[in-house]
Formats: sequence, structure tokens, C-alpha cells
Amino acid sequence: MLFVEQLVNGICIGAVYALFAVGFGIVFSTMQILNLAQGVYATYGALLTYFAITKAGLPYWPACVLGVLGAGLVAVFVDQVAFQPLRRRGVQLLGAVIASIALWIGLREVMSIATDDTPVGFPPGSAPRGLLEVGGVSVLHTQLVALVCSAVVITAVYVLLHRTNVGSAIRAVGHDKRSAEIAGISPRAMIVGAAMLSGMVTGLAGILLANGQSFGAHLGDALLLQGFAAVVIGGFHDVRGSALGGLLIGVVQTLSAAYISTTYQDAITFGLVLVVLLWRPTGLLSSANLARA
Amino acid sequence: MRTTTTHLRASGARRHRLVVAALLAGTLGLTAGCAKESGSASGASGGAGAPKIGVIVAETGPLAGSGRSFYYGAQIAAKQINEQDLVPGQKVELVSKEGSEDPAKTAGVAAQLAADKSVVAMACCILSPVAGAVIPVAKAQKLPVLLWGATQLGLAEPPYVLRTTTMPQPANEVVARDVAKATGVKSVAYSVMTDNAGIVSQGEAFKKGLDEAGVQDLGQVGTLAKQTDFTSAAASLMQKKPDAIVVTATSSEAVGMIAALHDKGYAGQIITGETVLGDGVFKSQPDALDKVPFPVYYLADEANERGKKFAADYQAAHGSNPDDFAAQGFNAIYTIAQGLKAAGANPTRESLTTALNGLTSLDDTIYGNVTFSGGQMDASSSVKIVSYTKPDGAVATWSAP
Repeated sequence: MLFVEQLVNGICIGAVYALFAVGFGIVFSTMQILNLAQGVYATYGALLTYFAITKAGLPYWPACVLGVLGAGLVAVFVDQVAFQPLRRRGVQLLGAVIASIALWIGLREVMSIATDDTPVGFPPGSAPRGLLEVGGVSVLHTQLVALVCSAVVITAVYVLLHRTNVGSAIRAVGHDKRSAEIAGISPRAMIVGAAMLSGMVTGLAGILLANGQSFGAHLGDALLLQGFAAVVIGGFHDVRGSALGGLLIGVVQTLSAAYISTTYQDAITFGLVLVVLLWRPTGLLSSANLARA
Repeated sequence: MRTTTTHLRASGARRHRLVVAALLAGTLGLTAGCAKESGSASGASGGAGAPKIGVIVAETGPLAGSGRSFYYGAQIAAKQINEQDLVPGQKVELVSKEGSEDPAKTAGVAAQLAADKSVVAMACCILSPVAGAVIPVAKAQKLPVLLWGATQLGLAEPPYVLRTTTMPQPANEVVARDVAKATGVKSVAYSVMTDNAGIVSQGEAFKKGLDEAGVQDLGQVGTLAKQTDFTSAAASLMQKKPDAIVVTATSSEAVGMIAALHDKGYAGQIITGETVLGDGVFKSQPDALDKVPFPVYYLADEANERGKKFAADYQAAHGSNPDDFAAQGFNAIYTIAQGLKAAGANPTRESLTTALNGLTSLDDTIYGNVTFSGGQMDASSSVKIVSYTKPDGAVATWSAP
């Protein structure tokens, strides 16, 4: 039973990593940017939700909506302030990474000041807190919420990107911006849309991670490595791959901590990343890039 | 036409740059306007020739909550030292630098303080790795440094590195023994943050106390400093079915672990260390932290006269009672002042170092009588077992349920 419970724990935290990885992957596949400020979106999602509950007196779910939207707007801000000027100048990956580091530090400091660098938590009675016993396995309500929200949102993102015209346009811009422009798609609009979507998804990951925790301005930093590893494992251009990568990391990390060693859990997890990179460099589910003449 | 189009594009690009610049300037202005100044002299200002004490503070960063407590305590100490003329004929002056409990940054500001020859002593360091970064600077510059918070065993290196940290290890032994006796627990499991040597040694102290109380050790589950999810560790601990669980970790991680145990429905006795003290900690998880015992060396309501005066001034300045971290900040500066008093007029780094190393005990500290040995202060006779109480998180003497 403990093994089953640990598996459930791994899947539930993996669902949060999956959500984060999807947000991370949207930015990379659309803009070819390794955005190290991605973790800040998770932090903003959680902290804006916290402020909406404690300062504006909103109930939990409307506060979450506000937090998610706020995280999306932060992502648009980062894109327009840091990445758009670099795109205009044709600056490649390294410049964007450096710019994202600067925004990461600056935005995190804003939240440090806003919280006075003290830990916060969703007030008792606001966020879902409770326990469900199913066949001897105890599952927290926060874990169930994380699992359900992640599943719904990731499915919705997949449908958006692969079954709608807007999603096709976003993917087209990510594949070949110039050709998309010739076809009448506005690359800038699609990139802003992708940034917003990425921020919202990542903001939701931050809220789900913050449930039941004491957290602060550094919340999102903890997700960055796991999210990046999930995208590498799953593949940069496939939402399903990022989600699968996140789930896999959550399960491997949890089971290795529980049954092998806490000390080496990160080494084991990132060793897995290395193995996947050596075996399938494009990721588990990434399709081959098609180059058209 | 082309020229017009090009001109329009250029205008659009310029407008976009202006908007971006305005947004950036607004963000930077907001950050700068709200950011705390570092390097400014604060606390009591003693005027020209006043002996300067460098304090490396952490008002920003992950430890800002406790960092501020240390600094506020130090400031109150300097104020009282000057008001009461505790160093006859001299007024002490604090020179603060922001280190954010980052080893590289703290080493840098330590070097700045050491380069200022009017600084005769330094006080710093909550984290042991940060203390480790400062120690070489202090020794190279022959500048006595008092470590006020770092808890790893063996950090004191007389004559230049002394420690007034009220060590959690003796306190953890006391709380473990006394809580076991009061509650009658027969078995215990441990949650220990394994990648922090200071925390590991604190966990070992809990084990020693509970072993002495005859409590059966059911084993340990490790956690990590950067961990954010504790449900798996909580499940592993609860599976051992212990009467008590001891949680040893740094602040947010200890609270996360305790909250996970609470949410998973653990009904046994939880014991933890002093790391759960600090601004905002109780409010972040009030249900989980309510009535969980932990040790402190200083409790305002049970303090001696000097301790009560400290509490009164702290309350007046900050609107709340000082916690154990503030007490350590106070006591570090108070100890340096006693060294300055012994060093006589016109103290130098050398004379102050000699005087500080000559201290074997102090009678009238906020902890009562304390002793010094090998550069380390011992205040273990003043350990108290406390807990947070609802609804406002006041820290009060703990009593068994």
C-alpha cells in the first residue's frame, strides 16, 4: 500500500511538473527561447492568488483565475520587454537566455519586496485542504485538485494547439515565422498569444504547488529544473511529450527518494534525462522536423 | 511610397522602444524606490572616533524574515549600550552591510568592512556556509567576528572567530527529553534535511535526547533543502507508525513537512527546532504549527530585567516581542560591548580580540548567566520549550496536550 501511495504522490507532483513543462515548452517551440524567467510566472501565479484572497477578499477559485491571468500578463510583459527587442535585432538563443535571467531576478525581487520576504500560505479555509482515503491509500484534496486541473488544462492546451486555427497559426510561427507571415499570419500576435498561454499555464502550476505549502518569492525556482528536464525528456515540440516527461520525473523522483536515497534523488532524475538524451535526442514523443523547400 | 513605409516603420519601432523603456524604467524605479539601502550606518551613531561594529545583515533573500530579527536585535543592543553607557566614555556605532545570507556576497561585504580600519569587530551569519565564507576574511584581516546564528558544530576558531549563537543542539536535547517525559511517547521517527550539515547535527541532538529518554528510534526519512513537496516523505514517516515525529529542517521546509503531516492526518506528537521561528511563519500554516513544541533560549514574558528592557524597546520600535533570533542579534552586540569595556579607551582590533578571548562568563545577559569556552558561548541553562498559539501566533510556554 505504501508503494501505491508513493506512486500516487509521484503522479500528483508529476502533474504539476507536467503543467510547468507544457508552459515552458510552448515558449521554446514558438520562440526558440530557453526562458529562465519561466519559474517567475509560477511564483506570480501563486502570490497574485494569495493577494487576491487576503487583500481583495476573493474566494479561492476566482482568486486562482486572477492569479492565472496575472501570470499570463507577466509573461507577455517579459516577452515584449526582453525578447521582442532581441527578435527585432535577430539576436539568437544566448542573448535571450541572458535577458531572461535579468527579468527572472528583477521580477523575483519585486515579489520579495511585495511579500517583505516573509513566507505566506493560503489562509485556512480558503484553498481545498482535506484527505481522501481510497482503499488504504490516503490522497490529499490538494493532490486531487492538482491532478484534475493539470489533466484538464493540458488536454485543453493540446486541443487548442492541434485542433484549432489559432493553434495551427501558433505552431506555424514556431516552425517558420517567415512562411507563416507570407501566409497571412501575424507572427507578433501569435507570439504574444503563446506567451500569454505559457504564462497562464505556468501560473496555474505555481498555484497548485503552493497549495498546502508555506511559500514565497522563490517558489518558482524549484520548478525550473524539473520543468526543463521534463521538456527535454518529452520533446520540445509536443505538449503530450512535455506532460509525459513531467509525470515521469515526478514518479522517478518520488520513488527514488522513498526507496533508494533522498540524497541522490536529483542525480537519479537527471541521470534519466541524460539517458533519454542519448537514446532519443529529440525527446520521447517529439516528431522529426520537416524541412520544406 | 517605400520611403513613407520605411519612415512609418521606423516611427513604430521608435514608439515601441519608448514604451519598452518607460516600462523598464517604471519597474526599476519601483524596485529601487522600495529596496532597502545597504551600507548605511544605522543603530546608534556614535560620532567621530566611536568604535564601529560591522554587522552583515540579511534583510533580503530567503532568510530575510529571521535576518531582520537579528538586525533589529542588534540595533536595540547598540541603542541600549549607548543610553546606559555600558562602554564607559564610548558610544558604539553599527555599520551594516547587506549580505542576504549569500556566501559570495557576504564574503565581499566582509572584505569591505575589514578594509575600514575604524571597524573593530564584526557580527554576522545565520547560515553555516555563509559563516564559512566570512571566516577566512576575518582571520586574514585579524578582525574579530562574532557569529550570531550559524549552528554547525566547530565553527568557532579563537582568537578571531567567536560565536554567541545559542546553539540549537543542547536545546534540542532538552526539548526532546522533556517532551518525551511529558507526553509518554514510546517511539519516534525523524525527518531530517540531509544536505545541510548544521541541520543534520541538530537532528542528532534530538536523537540523543530521545535515546536518553528511552524512546525507540524507528528510523529516519531524509528531505532536501530545495524540496517543495513533502507528501511522499510524510507518507514514509507515517508508515512507521511512530508516537512522535521530529522534524529538523530550515524554516520553510520544516513548515512544509509539518503541514504535510498535518494534512495527512498524523495525530501523534510532532517536535521541531527553532527554525520555525520568524516573521510570517505561523501565519503561513497556523493550523499545522499550532501547539508544536520547539526550543528557545529567550522568551520575553519570562526574561530577566535586561531581557524585559530589551523586549520593551523592541516592542516600541517594531510593534512585537523579540524572538530568539532578535535575542541573538542583541546578545552578539552586547558581548562585543563587554569586550570593548574590557579593552579600555581607544580600542583596537588587537585589544578587542584579546579582551573578547579573555571572557569566560557574563552574568547579566538577556539569558542570565552565560559561559564561554573555546570561543563558544553556552547559555543552555536558559532553554525553554514553547509553541505557537492560535489565533495570532503568540509564542508561549508549551504544555503537554
